[in-house]
Amino acid sequence: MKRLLQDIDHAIKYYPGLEKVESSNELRVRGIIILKHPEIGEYDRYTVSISFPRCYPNCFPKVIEVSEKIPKVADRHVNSDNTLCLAVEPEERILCRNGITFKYFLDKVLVPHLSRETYWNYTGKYEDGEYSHGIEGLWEYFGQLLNATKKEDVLNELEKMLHEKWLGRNAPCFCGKAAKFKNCHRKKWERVMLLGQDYLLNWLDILQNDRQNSSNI
Amino acid sequence: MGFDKNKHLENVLESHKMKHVDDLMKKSIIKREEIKDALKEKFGDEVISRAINSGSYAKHTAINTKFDIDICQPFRYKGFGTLEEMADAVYDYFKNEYKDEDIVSYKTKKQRVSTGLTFLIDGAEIQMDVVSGRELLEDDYSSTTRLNLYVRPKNLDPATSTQTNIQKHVDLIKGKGDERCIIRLLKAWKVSSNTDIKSFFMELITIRAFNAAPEIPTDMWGKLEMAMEFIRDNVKTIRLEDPANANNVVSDTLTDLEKEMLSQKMDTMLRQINDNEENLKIYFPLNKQFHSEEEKKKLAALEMSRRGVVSKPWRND
Ligand SMILES: [Zn+2]
Repeated sequence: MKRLLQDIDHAIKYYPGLEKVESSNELRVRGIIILKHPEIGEYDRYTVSISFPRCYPNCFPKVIEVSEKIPKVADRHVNSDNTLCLAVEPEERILCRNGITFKYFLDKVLVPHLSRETYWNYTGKYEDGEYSHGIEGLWEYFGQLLNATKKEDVLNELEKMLHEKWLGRNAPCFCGKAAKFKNCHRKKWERVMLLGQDYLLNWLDILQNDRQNSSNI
Repeated sequence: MGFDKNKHLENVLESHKMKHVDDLMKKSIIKREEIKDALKEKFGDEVISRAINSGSYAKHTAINTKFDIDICQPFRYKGFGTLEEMADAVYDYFKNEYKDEDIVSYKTKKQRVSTGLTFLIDGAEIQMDVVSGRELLEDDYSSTTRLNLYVRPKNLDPATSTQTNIQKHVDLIKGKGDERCIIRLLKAWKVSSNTDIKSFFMELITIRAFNAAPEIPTDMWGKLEMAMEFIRDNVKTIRLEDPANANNVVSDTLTDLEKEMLSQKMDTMLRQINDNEENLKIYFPLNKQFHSEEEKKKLAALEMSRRGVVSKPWRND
């Protein structure tokens, strides 16, 4: 608890509109986040209420946007419990694998996210796209992570990475190409394995089940 | 998903706000007050009171691409022999006597019921109509605010006079926030499409559209659509009277052909917008000049959104 308090105190030094609200059973951060661009200056502001789930700092804090600038609909990345949907789950997991600080979360996750929503308010679109609803979005995420455009390839790659025997960095790559592993699948493998074996096996299971009744990405 | 019509209309209104031309507006208001001073000074015994504001700015229906700072000068019943003398005296004074280096004097002109003045302020042309009116009876104005205006001849129509009540026109739109928003949007369309319809006509028909609606939509697009549909369906037959004088039929200021065309334009726009929402941007464009501030903010938001670590947001249910 003390560490969390220090973490928060440090971050809100940089966000003077935010303040800690301590009640008997929980700790929240509430207030205004002013979005500023180094040259252009303020371009928007949001009022937020942030709580810290048990998994924090190995997951994102939960954010509710209370200024109601973002409609509470899935299209605008708001979950049914009114918290903002900030990333696909595996991506959040990778980002938080070593624990995050609250300042990092504000700087690198929440402010960019709110900026994206501000951009949407101006233009009606997300310039850099978004992941589709539900499981389809996960296919897209894994497709990107694995550099695969077909669902079949996503499954094949995942299966090989998870099930092929580890033969060493200098052995021929498990994918069957002539190249050594270290020159072929290594980078991809390292990236994907950040998610952890069990976690990936679980996703492989989910994706395989979903594969029965769906077409390509 | 995608384009948000209401958001766009809000942006259109925002980019047409007078606050963007605050400096120009302040300077224009100084001019307006100088004109009022000059009228009082020149026609001291004949004027009843200082001229009143009657333009779109006074009615809160102004947009920054076109606004006027019109005034109405009430004169005493005994001030002039005839209404024509009154109207011409005002015109002659501004044409020949009044000095202001910002007035484009060759543009000072006799209009139907007013003297038209044009100022050039910071490169922008500001139009000011000076309506002169005479009270109906001696000492009648202060209690009724009624005035008789001289109507100059036009085409085949001979000169006439009309009774009106400028103060009533200004009051008509007071407190009608919804109607004012729609009037401003329709004006933005009018200016961007070079459609020539009297603002007073637009104001009256918009108010009628709201009065006729069994239920007012809550969203901006709903309100605009309602007004456009009303214009499409009724402009050809509706009788719009000056609320200050039932004999002054404002709907007669458009010819049948002009009404037919207005109805068709509304029909086309409504169909195009229903086909593709984004067509709304064509008919109701942002004022680009004052969109730059928004454009900047938009780019700032985009740039900052790319400084994050999350690749893309996820629409999760
Ligand atoms: Zn390989």
